[in-house]
Amino acid sequence: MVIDRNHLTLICIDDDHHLFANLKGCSTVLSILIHHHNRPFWPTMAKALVVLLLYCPEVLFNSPILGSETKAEQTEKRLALQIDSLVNQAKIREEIVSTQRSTDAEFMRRVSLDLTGKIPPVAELRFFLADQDQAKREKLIDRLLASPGFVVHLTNTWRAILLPEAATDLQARGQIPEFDAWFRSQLMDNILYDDIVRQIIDAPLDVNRSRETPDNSQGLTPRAYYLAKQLKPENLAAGTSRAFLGVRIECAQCHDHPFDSWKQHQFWQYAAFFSNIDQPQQGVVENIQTVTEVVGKPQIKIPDTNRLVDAIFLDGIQPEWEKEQTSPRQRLALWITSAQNPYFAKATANRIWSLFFGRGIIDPVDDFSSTNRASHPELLDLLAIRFREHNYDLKYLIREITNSQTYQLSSQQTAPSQSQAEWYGKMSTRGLTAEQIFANLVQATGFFQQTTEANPLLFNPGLNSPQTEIFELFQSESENRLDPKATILQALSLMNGTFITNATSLEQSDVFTAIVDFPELTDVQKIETFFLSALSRFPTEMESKRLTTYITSAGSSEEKIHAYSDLFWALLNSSEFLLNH
Amino acid sequence: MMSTTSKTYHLLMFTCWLAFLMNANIQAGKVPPDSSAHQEKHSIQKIILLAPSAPFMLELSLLVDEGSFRSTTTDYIERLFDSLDRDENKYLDLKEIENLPAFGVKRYDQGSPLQRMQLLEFPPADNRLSLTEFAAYIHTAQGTAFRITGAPSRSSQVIELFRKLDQNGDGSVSDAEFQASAQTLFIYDRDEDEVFNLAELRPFNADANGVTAQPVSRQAVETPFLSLDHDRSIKDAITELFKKYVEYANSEKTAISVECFKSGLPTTAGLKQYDRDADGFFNHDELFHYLQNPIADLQLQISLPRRHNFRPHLKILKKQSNRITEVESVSSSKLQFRVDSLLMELRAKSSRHMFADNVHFYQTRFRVVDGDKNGYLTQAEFMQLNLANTDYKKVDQNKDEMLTVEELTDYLINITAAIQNQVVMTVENDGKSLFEILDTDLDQRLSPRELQKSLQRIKEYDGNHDQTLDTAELRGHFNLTFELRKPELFIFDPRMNAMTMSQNRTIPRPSAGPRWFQRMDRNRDGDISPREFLFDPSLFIKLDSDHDQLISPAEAEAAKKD
Repeated sequence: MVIDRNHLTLICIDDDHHLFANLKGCSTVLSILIHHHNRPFWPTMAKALVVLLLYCPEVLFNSPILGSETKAEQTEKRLALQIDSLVNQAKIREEIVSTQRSTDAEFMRRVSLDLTGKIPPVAELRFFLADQDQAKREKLIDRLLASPGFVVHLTNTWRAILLPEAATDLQARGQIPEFDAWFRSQLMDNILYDDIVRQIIDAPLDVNRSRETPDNSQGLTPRAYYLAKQLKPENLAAGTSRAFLGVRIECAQCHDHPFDSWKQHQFWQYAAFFSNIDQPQQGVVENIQTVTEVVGKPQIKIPDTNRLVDAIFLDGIQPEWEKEQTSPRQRLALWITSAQNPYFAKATANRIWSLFFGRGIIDPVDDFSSTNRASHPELLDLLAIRFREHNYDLKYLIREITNSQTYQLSSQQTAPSQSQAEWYGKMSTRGLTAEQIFANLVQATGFFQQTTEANPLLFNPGLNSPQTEIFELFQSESENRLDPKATILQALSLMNGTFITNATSLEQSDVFTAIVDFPELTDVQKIETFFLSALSRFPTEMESKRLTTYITSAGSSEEKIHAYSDLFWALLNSSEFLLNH
Repeated sequence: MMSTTSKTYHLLMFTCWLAFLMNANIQAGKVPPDSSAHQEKHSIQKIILLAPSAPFMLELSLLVDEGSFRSTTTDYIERLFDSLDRDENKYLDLKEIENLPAFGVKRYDQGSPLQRMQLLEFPPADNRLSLTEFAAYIHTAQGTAFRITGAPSRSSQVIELFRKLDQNGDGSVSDAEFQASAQTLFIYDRDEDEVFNLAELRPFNADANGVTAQPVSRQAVETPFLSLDHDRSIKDAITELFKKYVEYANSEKTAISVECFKSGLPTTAGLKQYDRDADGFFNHDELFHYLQNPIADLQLQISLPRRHNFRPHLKILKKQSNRITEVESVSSSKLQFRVDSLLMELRAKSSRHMFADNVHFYQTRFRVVDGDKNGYLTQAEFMQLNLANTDYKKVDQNKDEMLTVEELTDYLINITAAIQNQVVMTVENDGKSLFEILDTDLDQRLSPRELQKSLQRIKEYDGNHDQTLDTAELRGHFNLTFELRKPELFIFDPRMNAMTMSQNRTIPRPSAGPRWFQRMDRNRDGDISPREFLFDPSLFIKLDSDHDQLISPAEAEAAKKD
């Protein structure tokens, strides 16, 4: 048992097994004591208590056990700590043993991938690893959250959630640039999430309405969302309920939901909120400037029946249309984002959680239903409450999750129980999106590319850039990042494709040539730099030793370059490079 | 006894004849002699130029075919007139005017019909409105007959770098703001490569794949010229004035000094009457009142041909302000002068030939897209005409799903005529943009070194040496073109093309410095920044001998020799 007085980090080790590790903060430990006093490891915990009493008694006397902490103090406690506390309670209940805390290098690679969508640049990595500041992880998180990379990555992530059809439908793909530009502008201005959602649902569509706003090129709107959904009430109902409320009511589109309580009329009552939009002919939207919207009470006819249904919220309340002249979409936007909405905060918190752990507390994330239970219901409630209290600030929630010890656990498995991803005994290894893979390749190899407004997902003939190629190859339809599957084509393109071939050749490459060509440095330092570039960590002692022998065994300088090239190639083709761990 | 039909027929004939007489006058450009003064008044368009030191008032007398540019009517105006004209006598009398909408214009919405008539900008002598007077009323109320549009001549002007760097919004970029430029722009660096290219800095406009591209005419660019016609435009102008001339505002920022509008006049006597509380400041209301009829610094007359064939001309009617210098009449349609330090080149241009050209172009296209040569276009064939924003059903008048060349021609004539009902003033800024000044290596990107040097660089442009750079010091040169609005076919946007070209351009690797240096310089800006450097930071400090946080090619070469 180790106690670090400064940081209140307590690592308990049982006589036989690792019981749990890295419990940050005394309250964590104490709450475990309260909840699990009848478990067999109680003696160990009792030992812990004694040690605590000996080393830092003030901790115990300020603890809830002794009743000196007020309720207000408890609510003020940092969410990151509360997350750990709740996750650890469940771990003890399920007898899950935690692995150790991640190394700094492991953490930086992970958090950079999760927040900015790409591995860190070598220079920043070196700086971070050399930094002696105890709070450096927290500072790194804050810095990444304020970076343009965060804006771009969150836009990519949210676009995938909001416009899933863009992966397959060419017409929807056409909407990507405008949607991205709008979403980026919102994030750059730190617009709160509920406001973003309201803007999406109440996007200005009507030609007469948009004319009122001054014609200015910066007047971006989220209308691309509507165009991607072809303005159809059923698409919009399915899309908004899934993305913002986490429910799949579209299963009730043609008949009552098979497993859940959603009825067919409920789906259409919800869809009716979008029914005032004038439908374009032939279902093809060619020009947004021709869209109109009628006012008044919205109604929709359930297809293949004669039933006409009114717009009713999912909680069964029907708005009164006569009272005020607000548009149905505006009403819906207010209902969805209202503090009383039972789904919104929870669904969003759950989705955010899933971005960092590969699975939701309710999983799949858009399947909130009576049959799909949450793994940590109290945790989900807590996240939702705090998210709401902080005015739906995505950055706040993300900051707290990434600051938690649960997120900062290593991905290395040390006990069999850790293989159950839902109890967070270790960090799960996650697959990367096509965008992340390409960004990583660019970061690691120094491939030169200018940012353009052109849409890489729209394949123009003759525009055969490496980016298009990789996007096409690595685009995955599976939402499950915990079970990444590589295709043979993907592997082949990385092993033999022109991109990697160029990246590891002296004539073509940037990073490779810069390292190999640099005077002064020893082989060990060069190997180190290759590791930092590709895997964002220093080589282990053994790796370093073996590789130095391999490099130095090369006879001529040409052979040496070849050896380096093989090394870089191997690193870029390793699964360590292709996964988030 | 005359039958009802023949009665109607006679009445119709009579009205037709009357209308013919009236129209003939207007069409021939002949203005009824007694109302020539009237016409002239109708043809006044007021413009305010937000010049760097103080606002400048321009009064244009715009004549199209020698008549007022506002007398052109549109379908909408004619229909509205007909619906109001209950007794069908082609005049709106006081009773009928009661139903005339005010379009949110204050002075059109006050008192009895007679008072309202008198409150009009140019009250008709006979207390009734003819169609042309009515058209002028509508055009003024809605600001539809005249439009100011900005045309960026180069892509770098679109990104409004100035505005981005001007953090406190005072209309100038100070030394401190220049020093902070890298931090200010940081969030725009989407690819985090430390250089800012145009795609990163410009506001989203239209997608480069052309899928959702907006019609060019909608992509307006901000200009320092504002038209003053209806209430909204005046209110907008007031907002801009308050933003722009903070130095003239009172301490509460609720009023602007009368001095601001003196504009080189010997006294402010003419302005005093608008300063009702005589405190030397115009508050919002007083300013609103003043801008209804401001004292013009310069009066210009511009004549454009439409149906008639004559050379467009442009001349100065009256010059009141001593801020205007170096007046030079280049030709009858070209004029050049300076307002303070701003160079203005004005040009009146005829676009009347475009009317026929537009029709001919599509007539020729008709034959090309008529694939089966059956003499008419089906809906699918029609799509290939690429006639912007046009529905097949609208063109196919008799709805027989066979679009003949005659139907197309009819449609084009109508639509082109309607388009040309508007006079457009295009403002082109020929001054250098801030981006161009800072981009010393002309690679259309701003690198860390260029931003580092920005302060030094702009010193050359800080004309008044006040340690800040304001827009006037940058944008010294405006080209103003006056012409009838052009059909969409003839509007080109050089900016978009330039943008696409620059996007596909790859930046070559810089050739200076040793090879490792060239390759480590991943953003190809000719320097290695700490972020780009791959090895231990201590090595960077060693190489960066001048400690400017950038390794230059020379520093890299020096390292080699060591």
